Amino acid sequence: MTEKHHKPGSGGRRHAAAGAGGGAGTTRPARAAEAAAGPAPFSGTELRQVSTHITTQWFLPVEGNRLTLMEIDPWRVHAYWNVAEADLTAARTGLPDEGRDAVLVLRFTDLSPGTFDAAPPHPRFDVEVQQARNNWYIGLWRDAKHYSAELGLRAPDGTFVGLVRSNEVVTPRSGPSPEVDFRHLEVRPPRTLQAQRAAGGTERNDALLRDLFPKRLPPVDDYPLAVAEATGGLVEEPPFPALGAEGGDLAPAAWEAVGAADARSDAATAATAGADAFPVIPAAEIEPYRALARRERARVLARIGPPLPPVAEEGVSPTVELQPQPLPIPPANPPVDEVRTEPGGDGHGGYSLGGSQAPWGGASVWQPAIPLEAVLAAVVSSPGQGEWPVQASVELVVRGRNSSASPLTLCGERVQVGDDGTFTLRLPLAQGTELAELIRRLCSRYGDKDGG
Amino acid sequence: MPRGYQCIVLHAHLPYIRHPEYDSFLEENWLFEAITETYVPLILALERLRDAGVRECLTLSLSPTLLTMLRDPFLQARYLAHVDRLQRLAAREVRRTRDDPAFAPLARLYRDRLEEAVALFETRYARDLVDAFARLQADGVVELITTAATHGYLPLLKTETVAVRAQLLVGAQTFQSMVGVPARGAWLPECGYYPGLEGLLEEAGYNYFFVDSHGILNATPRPYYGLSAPLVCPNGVAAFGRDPESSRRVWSRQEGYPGDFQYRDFYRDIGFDLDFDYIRPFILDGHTRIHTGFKYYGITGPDEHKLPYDPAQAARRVAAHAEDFVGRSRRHIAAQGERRSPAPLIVSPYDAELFGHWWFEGPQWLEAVIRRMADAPDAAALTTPSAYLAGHSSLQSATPSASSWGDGGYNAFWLNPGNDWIYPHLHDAAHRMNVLARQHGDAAPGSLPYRALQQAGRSLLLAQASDWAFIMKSDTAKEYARRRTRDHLARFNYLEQCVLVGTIDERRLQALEVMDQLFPDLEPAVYC
Repeated sequence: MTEKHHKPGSGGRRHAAAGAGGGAGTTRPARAAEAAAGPAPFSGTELRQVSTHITTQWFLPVEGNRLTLMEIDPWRVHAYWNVAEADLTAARTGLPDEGRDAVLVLRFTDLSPGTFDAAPPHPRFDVEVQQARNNWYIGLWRDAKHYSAELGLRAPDGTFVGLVRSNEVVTPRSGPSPEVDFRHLEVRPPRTLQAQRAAGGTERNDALLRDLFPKRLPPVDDYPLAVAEATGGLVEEPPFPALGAEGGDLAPAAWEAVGAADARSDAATAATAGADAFPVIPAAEIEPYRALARRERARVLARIGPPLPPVAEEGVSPTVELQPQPLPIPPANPPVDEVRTEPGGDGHGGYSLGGSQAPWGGASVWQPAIPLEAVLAAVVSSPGQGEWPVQASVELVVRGRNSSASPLTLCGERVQVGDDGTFTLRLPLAQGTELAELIRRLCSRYGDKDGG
Repeated sequence: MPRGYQCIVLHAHLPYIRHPEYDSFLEENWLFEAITETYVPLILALERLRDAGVRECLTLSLSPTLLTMLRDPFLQARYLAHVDRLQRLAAREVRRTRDDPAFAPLARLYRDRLEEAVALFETRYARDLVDAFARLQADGVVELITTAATHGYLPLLKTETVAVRAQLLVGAQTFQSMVGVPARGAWLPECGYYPGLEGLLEEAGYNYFFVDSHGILNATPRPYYGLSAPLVCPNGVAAFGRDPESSRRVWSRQEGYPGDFQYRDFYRDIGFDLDFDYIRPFILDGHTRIHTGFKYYGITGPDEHKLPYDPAQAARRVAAHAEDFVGRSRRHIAAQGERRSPAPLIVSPYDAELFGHWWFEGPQWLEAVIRRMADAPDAAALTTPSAYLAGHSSLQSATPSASSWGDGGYNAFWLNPGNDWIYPHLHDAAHRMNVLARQHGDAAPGSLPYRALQQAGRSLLLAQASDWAFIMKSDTAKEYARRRTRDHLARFNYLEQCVLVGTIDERRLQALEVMDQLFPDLEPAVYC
């Protein structure tokens, strides 16, 4: 326990009861007269009877199949579950020898960005758990990871029968972020609850929507989907530019085409929506974009391998869309702003991607020491066709070839280099501004906001 | 223009403890002790500062449950009965110690403090301390903020987003109805934050919140100014990070000011030191020794041997510690280099109940710090988050990392083998409350189904209080915490069943409304 993180007051007020015990054992029942509890003519005795009766009769076990993950800290996750005995029995019958030797396991799937280039698509690991218990503490070896799990029976031959899927958790980061970027944002002015209600209230999933489409971006930067309702029609979306033979740069003509479309939509936005009006996007109008994304996904998956496994709660039909687009790493204000050679250093030698950029625009020279290619990839899922909220994660995929014999380090991570010198590194981008920026880029094809 | 700023934040919170079903209840003393030892001394200090012309010197978080209890006539009456009992004890103590040159002044000190508390509580503010704090905010001395409705630990409730949302919305609504103006800032219970929470904070109308140090230091992208400037989340809500150095100076058992040997010892109390027959009339149940607040010894040293407490010597240490705190803050800001924008900011949050209750001299120290900084603001000026943001509206955009100020810095204190059994119940109940509110959202306000829905929401909120999981992990009052969790979950289950089958026993519903009498304006729709 560190002093820094010791709960202030943990030895605190709650200890006021130290030595005195607590609860009814240290109290004196109310006299038969009315308790001073307001106008209701209740005696203390009657109140106690009601309380005792309800607690005795109505503190009930949790029912229904459920598996829940909760992150404890960067290296531990807690899982609890509830599975009907009948479901467990039914699952056993589907296994060899009626599942006599099958064990109950938590099958974890690592959904973290940067892990799906391995085979199988997402790394998985099993944690064997005791059937008699209904919860487990799982130790992990990396922080800032994104997991889901499935509780199921695993037979000795490896056959797995799933019983219930979990929610998703992201374990906390245990150290500084590898992302180095500096951009300013205006603090939102205070707003009262009444003002929100007077303005029509906030929809249930506004939080996610606002994260996807930060209203603080000026209209010219708004996601084009936001204008679909205002203009009464969708902005015609040019086809996605094709990846080059080597996954290289986009065709300039394609950027120009989408840029013109965006300019039209931006003008419409400015004309029809106030600066503070939050865009409301009818789900139906998103569908054309979804279709476009699905086509793109199919095309990309044909290049990179099998699709991602759906991970969602039972009864939810996810749509998983992958929209990778190659983007030139901009010369200014990038997440990573320079590549430099670090011979020696921590003993690994080789190269590293990193460094920081002064917020006032200090010199930052883009001098790649090795040929690199960057691809932004988004994974978007929604609870159902045309439904919100949309959840998304984004990552920057950096590919290149290392001609040096030295080990390669990018963003502080040792990179596996193939026999031919090629490598791929996937860097997760935070939701929020970066995500909104990605979507803007995917739609505008302009690349970096600063014109890079 | 100051070179930098110091923001002192006190978080005042107590769980909702109110037991009309008993003539007296031990745990209700937590509130009574806090009123006498913390809230009244704090109000008196802030009033003196106001009269001296000091403004924007403190940020004070008042939890919705504390606000509710401070405004509760039932608890106000019990507080006065509690103080009356202590005043009778004080009179006996003054007589008992009259020939003891070391203890007699202390007995008179405690007697006078009780008289002062009653005068402020009953005469000046007509039992309404919320009004006292609201006036101090209206005078520009403090900025009042609030927290989640029952102090639910949000990172472990987020499995059901509706639970977090209701905690924040009901908390914000309660504050506004009690104080009269909305709170701009949110104190996250136990500083528990997870990425994405800022969206719900914005929805509840908040402009900023606080996280622990590593929430800022591990933010994405990296914070360019470290802890010395707040960040703004992508949705425009600002995040302030706790400064570990100034926190350690108050919290640390080894290095902290409260452990100074000249200060009053908390644990030596006549409730444990004197003959039981003498103390018996002044304790609640007549057979269990408790702290009375009459403490005559100083800390003296690490062992059991204690010397009588000397307030004059302690006052000198208060002055020295205040000077030390202010000096360190100024040096810390100076070390940030030349003047810059955003100006360096040190955020120092503490539990309010530390001041006065645990650290007897805490309110004096706080007043001394504020006076020193107000006298020479050029090197480091006091500020509040809203005042700082008014001058620094453009900040680095980043998302803090998941964090808390609990042991280990994450969720372990509220999720461990001692309390993990509560979460399946809490998550399941939140899910069912969502379903219930959607299915019966057309119930007419004031009707029995509507009242039952409201009471189910209250029961769920009360079951979610972080205090219960906290106490289960600690060493004392565990059974009370378990019982409270079971009681509220059972009440929720019962009320849910009543609504579902359409048969509501009004007498029982009214009994539950009498026992859990908070959040009168709770709208079931908050769970939709």
